[in-house]
Amino acid sequence: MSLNQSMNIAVSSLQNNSYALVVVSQNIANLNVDGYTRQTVEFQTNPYTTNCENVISTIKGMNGASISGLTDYADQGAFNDVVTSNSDASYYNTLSDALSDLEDIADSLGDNGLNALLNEFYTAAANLEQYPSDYTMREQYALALQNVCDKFNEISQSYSSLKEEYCDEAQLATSTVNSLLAQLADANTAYVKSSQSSDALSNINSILEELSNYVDITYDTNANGSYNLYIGDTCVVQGSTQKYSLTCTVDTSDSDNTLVFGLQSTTQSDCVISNINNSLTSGSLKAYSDFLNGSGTTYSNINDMQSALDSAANAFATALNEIQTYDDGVSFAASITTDSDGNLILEKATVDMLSASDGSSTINASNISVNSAILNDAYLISAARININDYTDEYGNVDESWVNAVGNSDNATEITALQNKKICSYNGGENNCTLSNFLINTAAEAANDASSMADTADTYQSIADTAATTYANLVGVNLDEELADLIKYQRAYEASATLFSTINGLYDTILNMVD
Amino acid sequence: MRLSTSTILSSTTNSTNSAYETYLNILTKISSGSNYSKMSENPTDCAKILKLKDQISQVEVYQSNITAATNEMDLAYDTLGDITDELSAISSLITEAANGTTTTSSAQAIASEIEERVATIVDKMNTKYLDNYIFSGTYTQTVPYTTDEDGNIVYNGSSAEAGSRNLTISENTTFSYNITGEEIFGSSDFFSEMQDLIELLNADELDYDAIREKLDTTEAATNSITKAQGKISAYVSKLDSNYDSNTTKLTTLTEDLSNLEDVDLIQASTDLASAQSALEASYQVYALILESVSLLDYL
Repeated sequence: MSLNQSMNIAVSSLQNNSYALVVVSQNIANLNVDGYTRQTVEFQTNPYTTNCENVISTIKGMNGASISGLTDYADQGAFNDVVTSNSDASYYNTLSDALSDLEDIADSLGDNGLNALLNEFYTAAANLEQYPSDYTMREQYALALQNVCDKFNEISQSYSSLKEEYCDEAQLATSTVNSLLAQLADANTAYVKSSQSSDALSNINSILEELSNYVDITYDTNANGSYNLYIGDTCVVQGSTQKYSLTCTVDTSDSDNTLVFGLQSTTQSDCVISNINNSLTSGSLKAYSDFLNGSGTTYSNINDMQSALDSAANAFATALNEIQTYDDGVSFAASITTDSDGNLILEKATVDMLSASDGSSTINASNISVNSAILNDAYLISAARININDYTDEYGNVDESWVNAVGNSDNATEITALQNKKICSYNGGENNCTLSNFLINTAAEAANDASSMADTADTYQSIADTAATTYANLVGVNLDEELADLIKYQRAYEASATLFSTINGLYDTILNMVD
Repeated sequence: MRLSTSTILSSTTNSTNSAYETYLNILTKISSGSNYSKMSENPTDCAKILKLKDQISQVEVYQSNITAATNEMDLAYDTLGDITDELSAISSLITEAANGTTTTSSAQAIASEIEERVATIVDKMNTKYLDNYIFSGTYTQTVPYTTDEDGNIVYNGSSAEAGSRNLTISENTTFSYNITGEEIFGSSDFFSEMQDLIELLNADELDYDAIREKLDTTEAATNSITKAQGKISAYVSKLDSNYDSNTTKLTTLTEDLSNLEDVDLIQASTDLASAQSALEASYQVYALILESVSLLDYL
């Protein structure tokens, strides 16, 4: 009977629209969930149950509509863009942070920088020129020099600490990657079990997105829908199995302590890919390896900065020691001692000004220090330089009275002149740069790199942001749309209910007729 | 284009944040008074700033050397002037003693006055500037004149030939200076002559001619002092001219530094005002977005 048929259609329509409202509720509830993929219900007309020989039988065959499926707005192409641009942004952001840290160490813009301390040292040297036999001036000079050495030590130590810090970060990132790989394997299992539900897929997507921060990943899918993940050419997760885990070691066999990423099979302990550094093309892991190892990079890296500082410290020490113990056979540097009557007299200088605090034969930034003998007795500083010809008569006899020339400050003058001497080798040249300028140039280079890397990172971040926004706009929830849907389904529900009650009224009419 | 609700909100938040950052940066600049707090803000300018600071510190060092040397030279010049006064007093005493009417007792009084004045000269020649004897040449810790066991006044400083003291007074100039007692009074000539004179005056019978001849000694000493003062004047004028050229250099360097480093307050205030209005605008946009028309309002 056709009233029954109408009633059945009205009831199923009521159900359909109430289910559709469930989906709208779900979307609205997930409005602010990152990575949530919006879904909408699809309706379809139910197939007619009779062949339509004539109009009436066609109508008799009408069965209303039902929910045919859920459309989710997942867009794998847009998601790929998100993952790729994420890796790039993460690489440049990590490098930018690292270079900014490096710059902070090298930067001597402040009053506490190495350059400012060097200037104080030269001021002390000038005071020594004025008062070469004054003990206080000598002590001030030794202290100013010690401050310079301490600063060298401190900067060198900061570089080492920074290196350790980034090694630690790399280790931490490695363990995060490993836990994400395990999660991916599990998520694959869940995805297959749930017959490729969109929730399980968003879970996989969010794991992939997270992974892309660390390493540039490629992936493909298996017949059952699960994902395979590759780092470089190696398949590390195959469906529900994690085949490899990432390793991160510091190679202490070379002096630069190279950071090495590798892969270790999870099942066979002897199956190891020892070095995958070159397979990494973006992501924070590559940033760590580039910054710490400085291989094939055009921007500043920690090893180069450290060796530049070492060479500066070494050049400074060499030049200063040469002046301190100068002796060319005619002129020689002289320090002060006390004679038996307690008078200050000169003697030929033999004690070095600067030495390596760790006893090493090479002075570098980490071990440069003022000779402890000099710190104990500032008279050992040689401020005088005696030209023996001044004390030699026409017969070649040397007058020993030069020992009284404590007012001679020619050696101190040489030290003052050191600030304009090109003792450092910059940019491949040979002794083409003063120490101060060398330090400024190196700091400026690091600053330049930090600044341009910050710009590059901004660019890549905005590309990543755009990709993420595009993706979010494609798959995310728009409240206006949901509200429109809400009204749509509400009206349909109301109409179905009205239909139901109308038919119900018709039944009443018929039943009343029977009475 | 379809936009998801959460991206509309997050992009608005981002743009408000960046407007706030700009505003805060300008505020920091104004409060610190310095254009840059980190080299990467402008590596080229910052490298220039550091190099300028190095140069300024260098020139300041030269200036301090010049000031110290000038002070010592001034003291030496004045001391020599005092000694000239003593010498002319001695000369008039000699003239007085040699006029042929002097009695032995008044000659003895003159002798003791001359003795005192010679002692004053020795004292003056042993003047120190800070810790250094100024008339000892390079033997700055050696007392220039002392009395030996025979009662003779002897010179202990360096000879005029044995090197001089040097100071750096500009990047390429070393200032060499040397004022020795030897060049003023000879190694001991003047003082032994004075010793003679005192003996002559203390003699029982006065030899007026011999006494008068000692005027040559004081005259020679006065001439040497004038010569030494001339040398000092030349030193001072060299120091002064270097001081002046260093000052000019310093003014230029300081100006350059200030141009690079110091915040242009007028510019910064203008920037601040425009950053502030940008920030206010972005707040308004934010409020607008939050309150914006939604379908919700019409249902």
